[in-house]
Amino acid sequence: MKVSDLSESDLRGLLRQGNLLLQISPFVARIRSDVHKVAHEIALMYGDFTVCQPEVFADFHVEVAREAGLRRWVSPLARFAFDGKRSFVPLPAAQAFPMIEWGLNWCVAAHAHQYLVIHAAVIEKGGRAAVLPAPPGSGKSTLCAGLVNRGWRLLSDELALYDLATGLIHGMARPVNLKNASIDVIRAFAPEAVFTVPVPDTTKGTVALMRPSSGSVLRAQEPVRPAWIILPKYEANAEAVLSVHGKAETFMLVAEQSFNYDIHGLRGFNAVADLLDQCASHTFTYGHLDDAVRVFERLAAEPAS
Amino acid sequence: MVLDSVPVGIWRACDEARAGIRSWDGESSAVFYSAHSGDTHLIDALAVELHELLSARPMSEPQILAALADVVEPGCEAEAASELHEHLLRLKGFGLLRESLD
Repeated sequence: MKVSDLSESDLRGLLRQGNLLLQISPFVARIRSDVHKVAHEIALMYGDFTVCQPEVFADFHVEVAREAGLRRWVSPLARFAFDGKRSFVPLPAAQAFPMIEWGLNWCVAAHAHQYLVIHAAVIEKGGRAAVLPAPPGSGKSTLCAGLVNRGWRLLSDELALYDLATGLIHGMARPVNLKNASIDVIRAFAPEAVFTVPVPDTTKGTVALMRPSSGSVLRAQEPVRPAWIILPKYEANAEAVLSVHGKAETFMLVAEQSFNYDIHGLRGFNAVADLLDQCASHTFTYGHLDDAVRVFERLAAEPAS
Repeated sequence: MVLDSVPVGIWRACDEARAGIRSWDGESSAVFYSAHSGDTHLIDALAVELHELLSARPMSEPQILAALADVVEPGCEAEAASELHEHLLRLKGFGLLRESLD
């Protein structure tokens, strides 16, 4: 059963009971929430995702619940909880859905040590993945959102799950998190894309989520062989320039952008080195998404080395 | 009083470091993971060359300089010797090389 098979009322009931089990391959997340609008946003963003039966094993048990007392009614606040333990500071209830997204990212980054978890967007075309690791503010999610609206498959805009045993990358195909000016940039670039209502005044500024394509969600269980590591950098009005970048320098950035590199020790070191062995390494500066799409199309058209 | 000859530092490659070195053809940098500290270092290609050189046999600094004579700019031997010493100490700090007195 898909989320889209359920009415918002059904979803709200499952969320209140803590019985909404979403398959975000390769994980299952059990979500509980008493925040009314969460059901609407899950329906909007996760329509193509599979809902698992309540008895299925869930990797992560997450909850966003309204704070008790007067703050339940006056400028209501909500708080994220993981495995029944309240975590992080309470935030305005209007941020409940982004909170679930950030919370799920934290769950994966902090616990999924069967993978090397890299802070990177991952997209795929022709059976080859481009990994875009970058610090916040580099234009990674904007570039990712632009490309997945031009035929690339979304694996993730935030977390690359690198399987240390197979060398393949998994993604969850979850909604793309856009911030501030990027929201209008992607709205103009892809008018058909579906967004949540932007939420202002979060710690990241104004945020909105973009629904992943049905095709990406349907193929979320297919890991991909990485072919390119591309370090993106947005510069207003800059020409699109793709340049070869030293693998040793790229290694250091990938290690720095990995949440659990240190945990894996020599195995993690070898995993990143093996990743670099099988990928071309580039920097990519861009100022316009149309130019970026052309550069990535040329890249995808090149024969595999 | 008879003075013994001054002890000479002999440099050796740390054998256990070999598994933590990765480099790529044509690149001027490489990476090294120290199992001892858990740190990863960006190192230059010369560091890899030095590790290989000293894996073959331990050497003093003059011997290392002689082995690298082909790549040292003529007339810059004194500066190269000084730089080499600093370089060796840095690689010792990383756990790539070790020094003992002969």
